Amino acid sequence: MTISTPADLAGLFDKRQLSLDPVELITYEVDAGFDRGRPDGVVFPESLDDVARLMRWAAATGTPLVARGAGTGLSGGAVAEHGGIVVSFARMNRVVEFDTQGRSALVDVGVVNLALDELVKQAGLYYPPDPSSGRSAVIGGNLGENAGGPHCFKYGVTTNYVTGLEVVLANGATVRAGGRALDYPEYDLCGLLVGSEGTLAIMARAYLRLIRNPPAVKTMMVAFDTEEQAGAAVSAVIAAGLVPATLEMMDQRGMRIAEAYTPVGLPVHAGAVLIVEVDGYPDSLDSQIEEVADILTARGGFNLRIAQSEAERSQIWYGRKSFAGALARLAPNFYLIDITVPRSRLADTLTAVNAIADRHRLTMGHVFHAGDGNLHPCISFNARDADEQRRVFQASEEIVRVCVERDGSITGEHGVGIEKRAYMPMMYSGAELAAMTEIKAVFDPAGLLNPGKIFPAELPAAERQAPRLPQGEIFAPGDAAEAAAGLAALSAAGESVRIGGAAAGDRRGAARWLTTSSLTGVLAFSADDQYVTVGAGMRVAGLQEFLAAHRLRAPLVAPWPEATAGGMVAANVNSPQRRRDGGIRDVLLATTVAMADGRVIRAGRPVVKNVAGYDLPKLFAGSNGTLGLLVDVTLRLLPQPRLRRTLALPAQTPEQGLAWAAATAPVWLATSSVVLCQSAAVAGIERAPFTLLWTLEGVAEDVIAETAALDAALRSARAPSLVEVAQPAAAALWANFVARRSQNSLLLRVGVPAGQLQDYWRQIAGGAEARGIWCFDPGNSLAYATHGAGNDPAAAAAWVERMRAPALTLGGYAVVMQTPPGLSTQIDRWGYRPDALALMQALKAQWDPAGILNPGDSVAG
Amino acid sequence: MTALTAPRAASQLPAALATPQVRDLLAQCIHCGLCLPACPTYTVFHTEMDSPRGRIALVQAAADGRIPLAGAFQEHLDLCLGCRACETACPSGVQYGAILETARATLHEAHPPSRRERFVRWLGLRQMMPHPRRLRWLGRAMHLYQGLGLQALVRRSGVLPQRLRAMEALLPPLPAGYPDYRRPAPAIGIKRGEVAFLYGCIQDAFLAAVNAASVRVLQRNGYEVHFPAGQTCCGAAQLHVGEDDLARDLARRNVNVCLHRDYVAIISNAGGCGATLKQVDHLLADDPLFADRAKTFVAKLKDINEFLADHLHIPPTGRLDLRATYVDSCHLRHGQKVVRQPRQLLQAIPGVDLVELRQPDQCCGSAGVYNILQPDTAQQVLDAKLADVAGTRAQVVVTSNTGCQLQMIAGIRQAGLQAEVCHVVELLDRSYAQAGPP
Repeated sequence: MTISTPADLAGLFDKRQLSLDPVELITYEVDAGFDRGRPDGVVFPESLDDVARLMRWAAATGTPLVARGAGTGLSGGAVAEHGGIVVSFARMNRVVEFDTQGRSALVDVGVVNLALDELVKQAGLYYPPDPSSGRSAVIGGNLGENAGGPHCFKYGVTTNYVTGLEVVLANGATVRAGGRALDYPEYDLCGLLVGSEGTLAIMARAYLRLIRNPPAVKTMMVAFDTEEQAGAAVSAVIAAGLVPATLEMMDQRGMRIAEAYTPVGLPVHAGAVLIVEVDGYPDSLDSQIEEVADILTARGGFNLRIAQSEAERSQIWYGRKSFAGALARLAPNFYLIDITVPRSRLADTLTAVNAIADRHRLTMGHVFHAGDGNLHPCISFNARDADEQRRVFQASEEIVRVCVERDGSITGEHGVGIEKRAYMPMMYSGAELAAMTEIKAVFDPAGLLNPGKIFPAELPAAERQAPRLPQGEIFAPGDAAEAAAGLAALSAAGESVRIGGAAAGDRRGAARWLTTSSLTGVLAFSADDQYVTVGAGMRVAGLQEFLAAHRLRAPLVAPWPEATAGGMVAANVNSPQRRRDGGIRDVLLATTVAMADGRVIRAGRPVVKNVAGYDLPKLFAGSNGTLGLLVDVTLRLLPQPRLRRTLALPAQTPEQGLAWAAATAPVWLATSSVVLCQSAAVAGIERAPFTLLWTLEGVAEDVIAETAALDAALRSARAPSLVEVAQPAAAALWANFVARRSQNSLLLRVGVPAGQLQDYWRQIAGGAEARGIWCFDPGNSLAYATHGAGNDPAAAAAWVERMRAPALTLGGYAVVMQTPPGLSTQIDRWGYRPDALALMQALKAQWDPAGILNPGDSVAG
Repeated sequence: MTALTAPRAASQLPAALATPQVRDLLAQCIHCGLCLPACPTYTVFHTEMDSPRGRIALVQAAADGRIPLAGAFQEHLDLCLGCRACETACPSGVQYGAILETARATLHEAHPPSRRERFVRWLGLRQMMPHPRRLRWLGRAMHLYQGLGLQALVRRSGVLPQRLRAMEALLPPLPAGYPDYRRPAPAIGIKRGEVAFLYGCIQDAFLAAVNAASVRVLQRNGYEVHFPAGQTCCGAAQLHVGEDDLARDLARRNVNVCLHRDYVAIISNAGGCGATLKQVDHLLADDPLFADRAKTFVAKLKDINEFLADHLHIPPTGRLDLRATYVDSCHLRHGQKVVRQPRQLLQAIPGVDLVELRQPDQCCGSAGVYNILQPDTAQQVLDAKLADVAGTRAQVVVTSNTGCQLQMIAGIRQAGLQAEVCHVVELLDRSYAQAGPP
């Protein structure tokens, strides 16, 4: 690649912001991986404007841009393999906003991961993604790779903490995807961009969600004779319904290496060690530790040691996170492989991986995130020995294959980059890869953004089902192939479908009713791995019943008895439990989709860590069936809580209720949901216009301690004492409200920036009586409302606009969830225009060119 | 813009960089980037070429003959403070200091300094620093310069050229007289042994009070303090600019004069000098006459904090009641790995409330003569340090190295902070004085 005029840049940027010196550029040839490529220049933007200006220049001159954070990636993601300009974000390192009440932050992407965590910890908050490179790595790189880390077992990965992004698109436009509020009525481009390795857009700022820093933590180390034994013990801990903050494993070689750099007393004579951390209220740690220890020792664990001080604990993690570097002390070169398998396959994967290393006569160590099934086999070798190097890469390919065969991923957290792109066809079909490259083409038609990454040059052909036109007005496919064949024929015929779970329903102008009623049943279930795959048409109630028998639950709360798993996912219906359980976007591990052109793709894999290619499930969650038909969904499961307790307060006004809810916000840790509901009768408390409920879940000691903490917070706010109620749980109260209010009335869902429900309520124009009936979800800053104006279309539309205006002003939205028949045409359902609407429309046109899928059911059509 | 040269034939490669030893040192770096936040110049510029990882990549490229030694290569190596904070941060055990010194020696060889530069070096490194008496005369002259009001005049007028201005700005308030090192200072109370004291060059001329306090504290703890005659500058500045031969001469002199008696320890009270003195065994490894003696010398050489932490026989009991913060000397912390001891000593003083800096491991920008050679960058590094210091609201800023102390005195004056700057031993000395005679 040649640039006609890199010197042009000198006219666009101050010389402090630019490097074109070939000698200096040598220092930008490589990240922390093996691959190299020298850029033609480096630009150091200091603002969003700088980035946009650079992008416009690049678009005009056809120059590739490669975004770079701290260059700590291991897969070559920041390497300018094809030349072009490296965009270094090291100087864009401001924490722009930090809202302790709303538990959120807006940061420039050059903020260092650990520096952010240290900053928010001062306010009692926590930013959990903690890659080992976090001392240096910046948020932008974390976003690009969807970084994980040891604490992701309990807390999830980077994408679970990103609610919005400010990005510069390939055409130079600056857009926001998502934002400060949750669940915007749009395709989840934010979710798609996280983990896209800088190939779709240049991310410049991120809206991050923070959580309360657990007040106490304990770390222990337990030795095992073999890695396999330790692997089995990990499964046993999880099967018992315990959720430690980390479950890290090191084998003997790993321990010796780590211990040589940071001596912390690892049991270097044992075969393996587990580093287990539990957190919560101080009262709960001893019993948590004791229970974990009992399970581990019953499975062969010995030599249990608990860190005695914060200094000792941080020393243990410092050593663990320095592992890769420490390894370099012993071997001239090493290769750290990043792969994921479903956790239950950990022990047999380790056996297989070790056998491969033995067969190739290679020395291998293991230090990895056992709780996530995320292995990091580490091979030491001498690069000057060509034969040995060849064996290393041969072994690594075989190891990757072992994971794919177990339905795992070729990369759990390091990314594909250059390193693993050749393996992509091993994991994904031609149809799946085509879906990804089509996205790339929509975002970056000229191929300027980080060219060459993720995808191999040669892609396998995309298989399509031959079109087969379904008969009759109702189309009830029995499997994915039939669905895809039908959709392909309908596309050709230009006949639209309305998708639903019911056998028949209101087609709202579409030619056919497509029901998922024949796509039911549990297709795959693993209690050990805590996931289930069900047909899209399976009812949530039936699914929960099935799971309860295994002491598990799906993080879905269905307001309607007939609600299906596929319907909930497609419509992105999130209950107040979202606060603790995550949203549907966070728990949807995979989904099989029948596309309008006859392709069947499986988006995602049943592992909690998978950064191979684009995060397609995010796009389908909340797409309302407008991008493809969800045939089945794979959901992450949660253990049934040891204790669930619901506490209640009567409130006379919404202002009072919201203020009390806000007063308790700093305490929320075990609190899984908070609901403030109008006109709700709850047995056991005095009848009042509003009822405020908190549901707490977790180990008993945590729930008890948090009850006291909530009480104390409310006392300071001069609220009455909390009353424990038998039922309903907060989420059930919300579900009742939504179910009742969605029958023949207009139901509105309002989302506002985290912590701003009180502001929103204050800003609504007009008197209280005309506002309708409300149910608030303060934990997620969402609200649900129905109006009392009857079926007068003009009055209803005016009401919607009155409720919508302040939400939009605050940076939120108000979307119509449900309209009674007859009203639908008069009311603007979305009332929200995403910045990236054109992109969403282009994506819709790409995947549904005939526009047959649920016409009008997304903001993009 | 520098053009890339075609790879040179092996015979033309910079010889010192192409040795197997240097190649091994370079190969140790896996470019993981964990050094970045520890590096003061990366923190200022946020550029790879001003990071440890980037400089290693440049040295590697030079060793491979991919880039010329002039231009950007030299520029970015010159910008390195040599604080070696990266070594502490590095999990792979890269010996950055050794790589840097080799690269600088190579540069010195490849690009002999200009005549003017040679004159300045001849004057400073050869004619002044190795000669304590000449330095004292300079000190006395500067005392007059300050006393006669010339300093205020010069500072207002700005007549000095940049480098001299940078030097002048570092002048601390100077004493009128100097201690007498001709006779040993006797132990106070029970005599526990004899130690050799290296009073240094700049330290003696410009921070004589620190030396005086060091001697009193050693005496108080039962040591007879000897001042081996003929001792000289440690050679750090000479090594820094690649004058290795001169540095070796100085090392021989110091080794020679300090091994006449069987001292319990040879004491240095400046972190930077100590770090260099602890490496004279490497410097003289190829000298058959001195190799063994240099090892003995190094075995006995102790930083004063290190020595006192183990030999504080008389606890300081005088109460001081002040809020203090400790500014690590990079060469003491990263070079000598003496981190705990100065803190321990400060905490042993009743009433001293020791507040840690947010980033105690970051350089203050003094870095030997860096603040004179690279005043702009040094200023930015110093600004970050001063902001950190101001955040502690300390009344006393405690250091353990000549360069740091001068840099902090100048910085604090310039920032208008109300804090006193002193050496660890000065606070100990004050506490002893407070407690009264034994």
